[in-house]
Amino acid sequence: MTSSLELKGITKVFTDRKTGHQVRAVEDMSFSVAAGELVSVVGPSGCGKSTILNMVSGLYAPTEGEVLIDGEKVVGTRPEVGFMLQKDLLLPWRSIVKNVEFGLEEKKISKAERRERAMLELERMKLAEFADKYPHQLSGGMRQRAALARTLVIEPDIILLDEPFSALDAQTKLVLQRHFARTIAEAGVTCVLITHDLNEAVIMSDRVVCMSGRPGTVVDEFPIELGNRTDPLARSMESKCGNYVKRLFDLLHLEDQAA
Amino acid sequence: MADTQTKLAPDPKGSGSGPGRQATTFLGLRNTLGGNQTEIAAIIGLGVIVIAIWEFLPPALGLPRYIIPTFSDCMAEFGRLAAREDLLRHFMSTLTSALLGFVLGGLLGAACGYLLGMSRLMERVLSPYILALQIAPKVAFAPLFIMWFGYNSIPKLLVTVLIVFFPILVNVLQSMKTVDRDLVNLARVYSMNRWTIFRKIEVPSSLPNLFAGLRIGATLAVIGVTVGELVGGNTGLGFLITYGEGQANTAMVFDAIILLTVIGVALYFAVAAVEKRVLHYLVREEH
Repeated sequence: MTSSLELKGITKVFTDRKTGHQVRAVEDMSFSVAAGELVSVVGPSGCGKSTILNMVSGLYAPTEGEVLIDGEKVVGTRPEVGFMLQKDLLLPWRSIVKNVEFGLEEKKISKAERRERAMLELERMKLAEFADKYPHQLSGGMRQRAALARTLVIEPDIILLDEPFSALDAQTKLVLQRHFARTIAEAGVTCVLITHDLNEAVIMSDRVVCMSGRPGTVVDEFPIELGNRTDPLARSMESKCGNYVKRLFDLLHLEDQAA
Repeated sequence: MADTQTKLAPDPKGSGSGPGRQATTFLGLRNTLGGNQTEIAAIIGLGVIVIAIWEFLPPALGLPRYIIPTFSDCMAEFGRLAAREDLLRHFMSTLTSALLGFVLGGLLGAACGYLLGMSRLMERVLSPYILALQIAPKVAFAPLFIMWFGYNSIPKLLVTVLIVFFPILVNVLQSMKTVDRDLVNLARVYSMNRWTIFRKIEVPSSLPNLFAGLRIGATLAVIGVTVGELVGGNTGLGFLITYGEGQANTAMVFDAIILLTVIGVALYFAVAAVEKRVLHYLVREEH
Protein backbone atom coordinates (compact mmCIF):
# COMPACT_ATOMS: atom_id res chain seq x y z
CA MET A 1 0.00 0.00 0.00
CA THR A 2 2.83 2.40 0.67
CA SER A 3 5.14 3.39 -2.16
CA SER A 4 8.66 4.55 -2.80
CA LEU A 5 9.36 7.77 -4.62
CA GLU A 6 12.30 8.72 -6.76
CA LEU A 7 13.17 11.97 -8.49
CA LYS A 8 15.78 11.54 -11.24
CA GLY A 9 17.55 14.57 -12.68
CA ILE A 10 14.52 16.82 -12.51
CA THR A 11 14.72 20.21 -14.22
CA LYS A 12 11.73 22.47 -14.48
CA VAL A 13 11.73 25.59 -16.65
CA PHE A 14 8.77 27.96 -16.61
CA THR A 15 8.25 30.15 -19.64
CA ASP A 16 6.37 33.40 -19.26
CA ARG A 17 3.59 33.34 -21.83
CA LYS A 18 3.79 37.02 -22.70
CA THR A 19 7.47 37.89 -22.50
CA GLY A 20 8.87 34.46 -23.35
CA HIS A 21 11.19 34.96 -20.40
CA GLN A 22 12.37 31.66 -18.93
CA VAL A 23 12.77 30.86 -15.29
CA ARG A 24 14.62 27.76 -14.14
CA ALA A 25 12.82 26.78 -10.95
CA VAL A 26 14.56 23.48 -10.34
CA GLU A 27 17.85 22.25 -11.83
CA ASP A 28 18.99 18.64 -12.08
CA MET A 29 17.43 17.60 -8.83
CA SER A 30 17.56 14.03 -7.57
CA PHE A 31 16.53 12.38 -4.34
CA SER A 32 14.54 9.38 -3.26
CA VAL A 33 12.16 8.46 -0.50
CA ALA A 34 11.86 4.86 0.64
CA ALA A 35 8.49 3.27 1.31
CA GLY A 36 7.16 4.43 4.67
CA GLU A 37 9.85 7.04 5.05
CA LEU A 38 9.20 10.69 5.96
CA VAL A 39 11.58 13.04 4.19
CA SER A 40 11.62 16.78 4.70
CA VAL A 41 12.70 19.18 2.00
CA VAL A 42 14.05 22.51 3.20
CA GLY A 43 15.44 25.42 1.28
CA PRO A 44 15.33 29.19 0.89
CA SER A 45 12.07 30.70 -0.27
CA GLY A 46 11.51 30.54 -4.00
CA CYS A 47 13.80 27.53 -4.45
CA GLY A 48 11.10 25.50 -6.14
CA LYS A 49 10.00 23.35 -3.21
CA SER A 50 6.36 23.56 -4.18
CA THR A 51 7.26 22.97 -7.83
CA ILE A 52 8.62 19.58 -6.80
CA LEU A 53 5.40 18.65 -5.06
CA ASN A 54 3.35 19.64 -8.07
CA MET A 55 5.49 17.44 -10.29
CA VAL A 56 5.27 14.49 -7.90
CA SER A 57 1.48 14.86 -7.74
CA GLY A 58 1.44 14.92 -11.54
CA LEU A 59 -0.09 18.37 -11.92
CA TYR A 60 2.64 19.21 -14.40
CA ALA A 61 5.54 17.33 -15.91
CA PRO A 62 9.21 18.17 -15.40
CA THR A 63 11.02 19.74 -18.37
CA GLU A 64 13.77 17.16 -18.01
CA GLY A 65 14.14 14.07 -15.89
CA GLU A 66 11.44 11.89 -14.43
CA VAL A 67 9.50 11.22 -11.27
CA LEU A 68 9.09 7.55 -10.38
CA ILE A 69 6.59 6.12 -7.96
CA ASP A 70 7.33 2.46 -7.23
CA GLY A 71 9.61 2.57 -10.26
CA GLU A 72 6.81 3.76 -12.53
CA LYS A 73 7.02 7.08 -14.30
CA VAL A 74 4.44 9.67 -13.22
CA VAL A 75 2.57 10.93 -16.28
CA GLY A 76 -0.49 12.55 -14.74
CA THR A 77 -2.39 13.00 -11.54
CA ARG A 78 -3.12 9.80 -9.70
CA PRO A 79 -5.59 9.21 -6.92
CA GLU A 80 -3.03 7.38 -4.77
CA VAL A 81 -1.28 10.65 -4.01
CA GLY A 82 -2.50 12.75 -1.10
CA PHE A 83 -1.88 16.45 -1.13
CA MET A 84 -1.92 19.03 1.63
CA LEU A 85 -1.05 22.71 1.58
CA GLN A 86 -0.63 25.51 4.05
CA LYS A 87 -4.20 26.41 3.18
CA ASP A 88 -6.57 23.70 4.38
CA LEU A 89 -8.40 23.70 1.02
CA LEU A 90 -11.64 22.73 2.72
CA LEU A 91 -14.65 23.63 0.63
CA PRO A 92 -16.51 26.26 2.66
CA TRP A 93 -19.90 25.18 1.30
CA ARG A 94 -19.51 21.62 2.52
CA SER A 95 -19.79 20.29 6.04
CA ILE A 96 -16.66 18.72 7.49
CA VAL A 97 -17.74 15.15 6.80
CA LYS A 98 -18.70 16.05 3.23
CA ASN A 99 -15.29 17.63 2.83
CA VAL A 100 -13.63 14.43 3.96
CA GLU A 101 -15.79 12.51 1.50
CA PHE A 102 -14.66 14.78 -1.33
CA GLY A 103 -11.64 12.67 -2.26
CA LEU A 104 -13.70 9.49 -2.23
CA GLU A 105 -16.30 10.73 -4.66
CA GLU A 106 -14.38 9.61 -7.72
CA LYS A 107 -13.99 6.13 -6.31
CA LYS A 108 -16.58 3.54 -7.13
CA ILE A 109 -17.91 2.98 -3.66
CA SER A 110 -21.40 3.33 -2.23
CA LYS A 111 -22.60 6.45 -0.47
CA ALA A 112 -22.93 4.55 2.79
CA GLU A 113 -19.37 3.26 2.62
CA ARG A 114 -18.09 6.71 1.77
CA ARG A 115 -19.80 8.15 4.83
CA GLU A 116 -18.56 5.30 6.99
CA ARG A 117 -14.93 5.74 5.94
CA ALA A 118 -15.12 9.50 6.36
CA MET A 119 -16.59 9.18 9.85
CA LEU A 120 -13.96 6.64 10.82
CA GLU A 121 -11.23 9.02 9.72
CA LEU A 122 -12.84 11.91 11.60
CA GLU A 123 -12.96 9.78 14.73
CA ARG A 124 -9.26 9.13 14.40
CA MET A 125 -8.72 12.88 14.13
CA LYS A 126 -11.00 13.42 17.14
CA LEU A 127 -13.30 15.49 14.98
CA ALA A 128 -16.34 13.21 14.89
CA GLU A 129 -18.50 15.62 16.85
CA PHE A 130 -17.74 18.36 14.31
CA ALA A 131 -18.74 16.26 11.31
CA ASP A 132 -21.77 18.40 10.52
CA LYS A 133 -20.13 21.75 11.18
CA TYR A 134 -18.85 23.96 8.41
CA PRO A 135 -15.17 24.90 8.01
CA HIS A 136 -15.64 28.48 9.21
CA GLN A 137 -16.94 27.14 12.52
CA LEU A 138 -13.67 25.34 13.26
CA SER A 139 -10.32 26.67 14.49
CA GLY A 140 -7.28 26.68 12.20
CA GLY A 141 -5.81 23.60 13.85
CA MET A 142 -9.07 21.69 13.59
CA ARG A 143 -9.43 22.64 9.94
CA GLN A 144 -5.93 21.35 9.22
CA ARG A 145 -6.81 18.10 11.00
CA ALA A 146 -9.93 17.82 8.86
CA ALA A 147 -7.72 18.38 5.81
CA LEU A 148 -5.48 15.54 6.98
CA ALA A 149 -8.55 13.34 7.39
CA ARG A 150 -9.55 14.17 3.81
CA THR A 151 -6.00 13.34 2.67
CA LEU A 152 -5.79 10.03 4.53
CA VAL A 153 -9.30 8.78 3.86
CA ILE A 154 -8.37 7.92 0.27
CA GLU A 155 -5.65 5.64 1.71
CA PRO A 156 -2.89 7.26 -0.29
CA ASP A 157 0.44 5.59 -1.01
CA ILE A 158 2.27 8.86 -0.72
CA ILE A 159 1.34 12.09 0.94
CA LEU A 160 2.80 15.43 0.04
CA LEU A 161 2.72 18.08 2.72
CA ASP A 162 3.49 21.64 1.63
CA GLU A 163 4.09 23.66 4.79
CA PRO A 164 0.92 22.39 6.45
CA PHE A 165 1.73 23.95 9.82
CA SER A 166 3.07 27.33 8.79
CA ALA A 167 -0.20 29.24 9.16
CA LEU A 168 -0.82 28.03 12.71
CA ASP A 169 0.06 29.61 16.04
CA ALA A 170 3.02 28.14 17.93
CA GLN A 171 1.05 26.01 20.38
CA THR A 172 -1.40 24.60 17.85
CA LYS A 173 1.59 23.85 15.68
CA LEU A 174 3.24 21.71 18.38
CA VAL A 175 0.07 19.77 19.07
CA LEU A 176 -0.63 19.26 15.42
CA GLN A 177 2.92 18.19 14.59
CA ARG A 178 2.66 15.42 17.15
CA HIS A 179 -0.78 14.45 15.94
CA PHE A 180 0.39 14.33 12.32
CA ALA A 181 3.54 12.41 13.25
CA ARG A 182 1.50 9.72 14.99
CA THR A 183 -1.22 9.48 12.39
CA ILE A 184 1.22 9.31 9.50
CA ALA A 185 3.37 6.69 11.26
CA GLU A 186 0.26 4.63 12.05
CA ALA A 187 -0.82 4.75 8.45
CA GLY A 188 2.74 3.78 7.50
CA VAL A 189 2.50 6.03 4.50
CA THR A 190 5.42 7.53 2.57
CA CYS A 191 5.57 11.24 3.14
CA VAL A 192 7.34 14.30 1.74
CA LEU A 193 7.19 17.35 3.97
CA ILE A 194 8.10 20.69 2.47
CA THR A 195 8.94 23.24 5.10
CA HIS A 196 11.00 26.35 5.77
CA ASP A 197 10.99 25.63 9.49
CA LEU A 198 14.35 23.93 10.11
CA ASN A 199 13.38 22.70 13.56
CA GLU A 200 10.21 21.16 12.15
CA ALA A 201 12.21 19.42 9.43
CA VAL A 202 14.50 17.87 12.01
CA ILE A 203 11.91 16.74 14.55
CA MET A 204 9.40 15.37 12.06
CA SER A 205 11.46 13.37 9.62
CA ASP A 206 13.67 10.35 8.99
CA ARG A 207 15.82 12.27 6.54
CA VAL A 208 16.25 15.87 5.39
CA VAL A 209 16.96 17.06 1.87
CA CYS A 210 18.42 20.55 1.71
CA MET A 211 18.01 22.65 -1.42
CA SER A 212 19.88 25.65 -2.77
CA GLY A 213 18.30 28.91 -3.89
CA ARG A 214 16.83 29.25 -7.39
CA PRO A 215 17.37 27.27 -9.51
CA GLY A 216 16.82 24.73 -6.75
CA THR A 217 19.01 21.69 -6.53
CA VAL A 218 20.01 19.31 -3.74
CA VAL A 219 23.01 20.61 -1.81
CA ASP A 220 22.94 18.03 0.94
CA GLU A 221 20.86 15.27 2.44
CA PHE A 222 21.33 13.41 5.67
CA PRO A 223 19.39 11.07 7.94
CA ILE A 224 18.09 12.30 11.28
CA GLU A 225 19.19 9.86 13.94
CA LEU A 226 16.95 10.85 16.79
CA GLY A 227 14.41 8.80 18.72
CA ASN A 228 11.01 7.69 17.55
CA ARG A 229 9.61 10.13 15.06
CA THR A 230 6.08 9.74 16.45
CA ASP A 231 7.06 12.11 19.26
CA PRO A 232 8.49 15.28 17.72
CA LEU A 233 8.40 17.14 21.02
CA ALA A 234 10.61 14.57 22.76
CA ARG A 235 12.96 14.64 19.77
CA SER A 236 13.27 18.39 20.00
CA MET A 237 14.53 17.97 23.59
CA GLU A 238 17.41 15.75 22.50
CA SER A 239 20.79 17.47 22.41
CA LYS A 240 21.58 16.17 18.92
CA CYS A 241 18.54 17.96 17.59
CA GLY A 242 20.23 21.34 17.89
CA ASN A 243 23.22 20.08 15.94
CA TYR A 244 21.02 19.06 13.02
CA VAL A 245 19.28 22.41 13.02
CA LYS A 246 22.66 24.17 13.14
CA ARG A 247 23.86 22.06 10.22
CA LEU A 248 20.87 23.09 8.13
CA PHE A 249 21.27 26.67 9.25
CA ASP A 250 24.87 26.67 7.99
CA LEU A 251 23.97 24.87 4.76
CA LEU A 252 21.43 27.55 3.91
CA HIS A 253 23.92 30.34 4.69
CA LEU A 254 21.33 31.93 6.87
CA GLU A 255 23.99 33.73 8.87
CA ASP A 256 25.08 35.73 5.82
CA GLN A 257 21.50 36.68 5.07
CA ALA A 258 20.79 37.88 8.58
CA ALA A 259 22.58 41.16 7.88
CA MET B 1 -17.73 24.69 20.75
CA ALA B 2 -19.82 27.33 22.41
CA ASP B 3 -18.39 30.14 20.34
CA THR B 4 -18.69 28.19 17.13
CA GLN B 5 -22.39 27.93 17.78
CA THR B 6 -22.89 31.61 18.32
CA LYS B 7 -21.48 32.13 14.84
CA LEU B 8 -24.22 29.88 13.53
CA ALA B 9 -26.99 31.93 15.04
CA PRO B 10 -28.49 34.37 12.54
CA ASP B 11 -28.41 37.22 15.01
CA PRO B 12 -25.10 37.68 16.82
CA LYS B 13 -26.59 40.43 19.01
CA GLY B 14 -28.91 37.80 20.40
CA SER B 15 -31.75 40.20 21.09
CA GLY B 16 -34.64 38.43 19.50
CA SER B 17 -38.11 38.90 20.86
CA GLY B 18 -41.34 40.64 19.97
CA PRO B 19 -41.37 42.64 16.75
CA GLY B 20 -37.67 41.93 16.22
CA ARG B 21 -38.29 38.24 15.80
CA GLN B 22 -41.11 38.86 13.36
CA ALA B 23 -38.77 40.98 11.27
CA THR B 24 -36.33 38.07 11.11
CA THR B 25 -38.95 35.81 9.67
CA PHE B 26 -40.00 38.37 7.11
CA LEU B 27 -37.37 37.78 4.40
CA GLY B 28 -34.52 38.51 6.76
CA LEU B 29 -35.54 42.14 6.67
CA ARG B 30 -34.40 42.61 10.18
CA ASN B 31 -30.70 42.52 9.38
CA THR B 32 -31.17 45.30 6.87
CA LEU B 33 -33.50 47.36 8.97
CA GLY B 34 -31.25 47.06 11.97
CA GLY B 35 -31.01 44.89 15.01
CA ASN B 36 -32.97 45.88 18.08
CA GLN B 37 -36.35 47.23 18.92
CA THR B 38 -35.22 50.79 19.54
CA GLU B 39 -33.80 50.98 16.04
CA ILE B 40 -36.98 49.58 14.54
CA ALA B 41 -39.05 52.05 16.54
CA ALA B 42 -36.81 54.88 15.27
CA ILE B 43 -37.20 53.69 11.68
CA ILE B 44 -40.98 53.56 11.95
CA GLY B 45 -41.04 56.89 13.78
CA LEU B 46 -39.05 58.56 11.01
CA GLY B 47 -41.49 57.18 8.46
CA VAL B 48 -44.43 58.63 10.36
CA ILE B 49 -42.73 62.04 10.55
CA VAL B 50 -41.97 62.08 6.82
CA ILE B 51 -45.58 61.16 6.01
CA ALA B 52 -46.83 63.86 8.38
CA ILE B 53 -44.66 66.50 6.69
CA TRP B 54 -45.81 65.26 3.30
CA GLU B 55 -49.42 65.54 4.44
CA PHE B 56 -49.35 68.98 6.03
CA LEU B 57 -46.44 70.96 4.58
CA PRO B 58 -47.52 71.33 0.91
CA PRO B 59 -51.00 72.71 1.77
CA ALA B 60 -49.41 75.01 4.35
CA LEU B 61 -47.10 76.37 1.65
CA GLY B 62 -50.06 76.70 -0.68
CA LEU B 63 -48.78 74.15 -3.19
CA PRO B 64 -51.63 72.89 -5.36
CA ARG B 65 -52.29 69.14 -5.48
CA TYR B 66 -51.32 68.88 -9.15
CA ILE B 67 -47.80 69.85 -8.08
CA ILE B 68 -47.54 67.86 -4.86
CA PRO B 69 -50.53 65.77 -3.86
CA THR B 70 -50.64 65.03 -0.13
CA PHE B 71 -50.34 61.61 1.40
CA SER B 72 -54.11 61.32 1.78
CA ASP B 73 -54.59 62.43 -1.85
CA CYS B 74 -52.35 59.60 -2.95
CA MET B 75 -54.18 57.09 -0.77
CA ALA B 76 -57.51 58.27 -2.15
CA GLU B 77 -56.10 57.97 -5.66
CA PHE B 78 -55.11 54.38 -4.87
CA GLY B 79 -58.75 53.66 -4.09
CA ARG B 80 -59.93 55.34 -7.28
CA LEU B 81 -57.32 53.53 -9.40
CA ALA B 82 -58.28 50.18 -7.94
CA ALA B 83 -61.97 50.79 -8.54
CA ARG B 84 -61.93 52.61 -11.87
CA GLU B 85 -58.62 52.02 -13.66
CA ASP B 86 -58.04 48.34 -13.03
CA LEU B 87 -54.94 49.04 -10.92
CA LEU B 88 -54.51 45.35 -10.10
CA ARG B 89 -54.15 44.45 -13.77
CA HIS B 90 -51.50 47.15 -14.30
CA PHE B 91 -49.67 46.12 -11.16
CA MET B 92 -49.69 42.43 -12.07
CA SER B 93 -48.55 43.17 -15.60
CA THR B 94 -45.52 45.08 -14.34
CA LEU B 95 -44.81 42.54 -11.63
CA THR B 96 -44.95 39.59 -14.04
CA SER B 97 -42.77 41.33 -16.60
CA ALA B 98 -40.22 42.29 -13.93
CA LEU B 99 -40.15 38.76 -12.53
CA LEU B 100 -40.04 37.03 -15.88
CA GLY B 101 -37.42 39.44 -17.23
CA PHE B 102 -35.35 39.02 -14.10
CA VAL B 103 -35.49 35.23 -14.24
CA LEU B 104 -34.76 35.05 -17.98
CA GLY B 105 -32.03 37.69 -17.83
CA GLY B 106 -30.53 35.98 -14.80
CA LEU B 107 -30.53 32.54 -16.40
CA LEU B 108 -29.08 33.81 -19.66
CA GLY B 109 -26.50 35.98 -17.90
CA ALA B 110 -25.38 33.16 -15.63
CA ALA B 111 -25.28 30.63 -18.48
CA CYS B 112 -23.19 32.95 -20.66
CA GLY B 113 -20.96 33.82 -17.71
CA TYR B 114 -20.21 30.17 -17.00
CA LEU B 115 -19.74 29.38 -20.68
CA LEU B 116 -17.27 32.23 -21.18
CA GLY B 117 -15.59 31.32 -17.92
CA MET B 118 -14.98 27.78 -19.19
CA SER B 119 -13.24 28.97 -22.34
CA ARG B 120 -10.43 31.46 -22.19
CA LEU B 121 -10.43 31.84 -25.96
CA MET B 122 -14.12 32.67 -26.16
CA GLU B 123 -13.77 35.14 -23.36
CA ARG B 124 -10.84 36.90 -25.06
CA VAL B 125 -12.64 37.12 -28.39
CA LEU B 126 -15.97 38.25 -26.99
CA SER B 127 -14.94 40.50 -24.13
CA PRO B 128 -14.53 43.73 -26.18
CA TYR B 129 -18.03 43.28 -27.56
CA ILE B 130 -19.44 42.46 -24.18
CA LEU B 131 -17.82 45.59 -22.80
CA ALA B 132 -19.34 47.69 -25.58
CA LEU B 133 -22.79 46.22 -25.05
CA GLN B 134 -22.43 46.61 -21.33
CA ILE B 135 -21.69 50.32 -21.69
CA ALA B 136 -24.45 50.92 -24.24
CA PRO B 137 -27.49 52.28 -22.36
CA LYS B 138 -29.89 49.35 -22.46
CA VAL B 139 -32.99 51.48 -21.92
CA ALA B 140 -32.26 53.23 -25.21
CA PHE B 141 -33.13 49.98 -26.95
CA ALA B 142 -36.74 50.25 -25.83
CA PRO B 143 -38.04 52.29 -28.83
CA LEU B 144 -36.20 49.91 -31.13
CA PHE B 145 -37.90 46.90 -29.62
CA ILE B 146 -41.26 48.61 -29.98
CA MET B 147 -40.55 49.23 -33.67
CA TRP B 148 -39.72 45.56 -34.06
CA PHE B 149 -42.34 43.88 -31.89
CA GLY B 150 -45.14 46.42 -31.57
CA TYR B 151 -47.09 47.77 -28.64
CA ASN B 152 -47.30 44.66 -26.54
CA SER B 153 -45.50 43.16 -23.56
CA ILE B 154 -42.54 41.82 -25.52
CA PRO B 155 -40.52 45.07 -25.75
CA LYS B 156 -40.61 45.73 -22.02
CA LEU B 157 -39.70 42.14 -21.32
CA LEU B 158 -36.74 42.38 -23.71
CA VAL B 159 -35.47 45.59 -22.14
CA THR B 160 -35.67 43.94 -18.74
CA VAL B 161 -33.86 40.81 -19.87
CA LEU B 162 -31.15 42.92 -21.49
CA ILE B 163 -30.63 45.17 -18.48
CA VAL B 164 -30.55 42.27 -16.01
CA PHE B 165 -28.29 40.16 -18.23
CA PHE B 166 -25.03 42.08 -18.02
CA PRO B 167 -24.33 42.57 -14.33
CA ILE B 168 -24.98 38.87 -13.80
CA LEU B 169 -22.82 37.83 -16.74
CA VAL B 170 -19.96 40.04 -15.60
CA ASN B 171 -20.17 38.87 -11.99
CA VAL B 172 -20.23 35.20 -12.89
CA LEU B 173 -17.40 35.58 -15.39
CA GLN B 174 -15.32 37.43 -12.83
CA SER B 175 -15.86 34.70 -10.27
CA MET B 176 -14.91 31.98 -12.75
CA LYS B 177 -11.62 33.77 -13.32
CA THR B 178 -10.85 34.02 -9.63
CA VAL B 179 -11.60 30.45 -8.54
CA ASP B 180 -8.88 29.26 -6.17
CA ARG B 181 -6.39 27.40 -8.39
CA ASP B 182 -5.33 25.23 -5.48
CA LEU B 183 -8.87 23.94 -5.05
CA VAL B 184 -8.96 23.07 -8.73
CA ASN B 185 -5.59 21.34 -8.40
CA LEU B 186 -6.84 19.40 -5.41
CA ALA B 187 -9.78 18.17 -7.47
CA ARG B 188 -7.40 17.30 -10.30
CA VAL B 189 -5.21 15.28 -7.96
CA TYR B 190 -8.38 13.39 -7.01
CA SER B 191 -8.76 12.63 -10.74
CA MET B 192 -11.88 14.69 -11.25
CA ASN B 193 -12.67 15.64 -14.82
CA ARG B 194 -13.42 19.08 -16.20
CA TRP B 195 -17.18 18.77 -15.77
CA THR B 196 -16.93 17.48 -12.21
CA ILE B 197 -14.55 20.29 -11.29
CA PHE B 198 -17.04 22.75 -12.78
CA ARG B 199 -19.89 21.29 -10.76
CA LYS B 200 -18.10 20.69 -7.49
CA ILE B 201 -15.62 23.56 -7.34
CA GLU B 202 -16.32 26.34 -9.81
CA VAL B 203 -20.08 26.68 -9.51
CA PRO B 204 -20.16 26.69 -5.69
CA SER B 205 -17.19 29.11 -5.64
CA SER B 206 -19.05 31.46 -7.94
CA LEU B 207 -22.27 31.59 -5.92
CA PRO B 208 -21.42 34.68 -3.83
CA ASN B 209 -20.66 36.60 -7.01
CA LEU B 210 -23.73 35.24 -8.75
CA PHE B 211 -25.90 36.49 -5.91
CA ALA B 212 -24.23 39.88 -5.93
CA GLY B 213 -25.15 40.06 -9.61
CA LEU B 214 -28.69 38.89 -8.95
CA ARG B 215 -29.18 41.57 -6.31
CA ILE B 216 -28.11 44.27 -8.76
CA GLY B 217 -30.28 42.62 -11.40
CA ALA B 218 -33.32 42.68 -9.10
CA THR B 219 -33.19 46.47 -8.81
CA LEU B 220 -32.43 46.93 -12.49
CA ALA B 221 -35.35 44.72 -13.54
CA VAL B 222 -37.83 47.32 -12.31
CA ILE B 223 -36.05 50.04 -14.26
CA GLY B 224 -36.17 47.91 -17.39
CA VAL B 225 -39.90 47.27 -17.13
CA THR B 226 -40.67 50.89 -16.28
CA VAL B 227 -38.79 52.25 -19.27
CA GLY B 228 -40.42 49.67 -21.53
CA GLU B 229 -43.84 50.74 -20.30
CA LEU B 230 -43.09 54.45 -20.42
CA VAL B 231 -42.03 54.29 -24.04
CA GLY B 232 -44.93 52.30 -25.32
CA GLY B 233 -47.83 50.12 -24.38
CA ASN B 234 -51.12 50.51 -22.61
CA THR B 235 -50.64 48.43 -19.51
CA GLY B 236 -48.44 48.50 -16.48
CA LEU B 237 -47.40 50.99 -13.86
CA GLY B 238 -45.07 52.73 -16.30
CA PHE B 239 -48.05 53.33 -18.55
CA LEU B 240 -49.99 54.76 -15.58
CA ILE B 241 -47.18 57.28 -15.13
CA THR B 242 -47.54 58.61 -18.68
CA TYR B 243 -51.31 58.34 -18.46
CA GLY B 244 -51.38 60.28 -15.19
CA GLU B 245 -48.99 62.84 -16.62
CA GLY B 246 -51.32 63.41 -19.57
CA GLN B 247 -54.21 64.05 -17.22
CA ALA B 248 -52.15 66.20 -14.87
CA ASN B 249 -53.07 63.61 -12.23
CA THR B 250 -49.93 63.87 -10.12
CA ALA B 251 -51.29 61.54 -7.44
CA MET B 252 -51.54 58.78 -10.06
CA VAL B 253 -47.89 59.30 -10.97
CA PHE B 254 -46.92 59.22 -7.30
CA ASP B 255 -48.87 56.02 -6.74
CA ALA B 256 -47.31 54.29 -9.72
CA ILE B 257 -43.83 55.24 -8.49
CA ILE B 258 -44.67 53.93 -5.01
CA LEU B 259 -45.86 50.59 -6.40
CA LEU B 260 -42.82 50.26 -8.68
CA THR B 261 -40.62 50.80 -5.66
CA VAL B 262 -42.58 48.17 -3.75
CA ILE B 263 -41.96 45.66 -6.55
CA GLY B 264 -38.24 46.49 -6.63
CA VAL B 265 -37.87 46.19 -2.87
CA ALA B 266 -39.78 42.90 -2.78
CA LEU B 267 -37.66 41.46 -5.57
CA TYR B 268 -34.45 42.58 -3.88
CA PHE B 269 -35.38 41.10 -0.53
CA ALA B 270 -36.55 37.88 -2.14
CA VAL B 271 -33.10 37.50 -3.70
CA ALA B 272 -31.41 38.46 -0.44
CA ALA B 273 -33.47 35.86 1.44
CA VAL B 274 -32.58 33.09 -1.01
CA GLU B 275 -28.96 34.20 -0.87
CA LYS B 276 -28.92 34.03 2.90
CA ARG B 277 -30.26 30.51 2.79
CA VAL B 278 -27.93 29.27 0.06
CA LEU B 279 -24.78 30.99 1.34
CA HIS B 280 -25.40 30.13 4.99
CA TYR B 281 -21.80 28.90 5.26
CA LEU B 282 -20.31 32.33 4.79
CA VAL B 283 -19.42 34.25 7.89
CA ARG B 284 -21.11 37.57 7.51
CA GLU B 285 -20.24 40.89 8.99
CA GLU B 286 -23.10 42.99 10.25
CA HIS B 287 -23.73 45.74 7.75
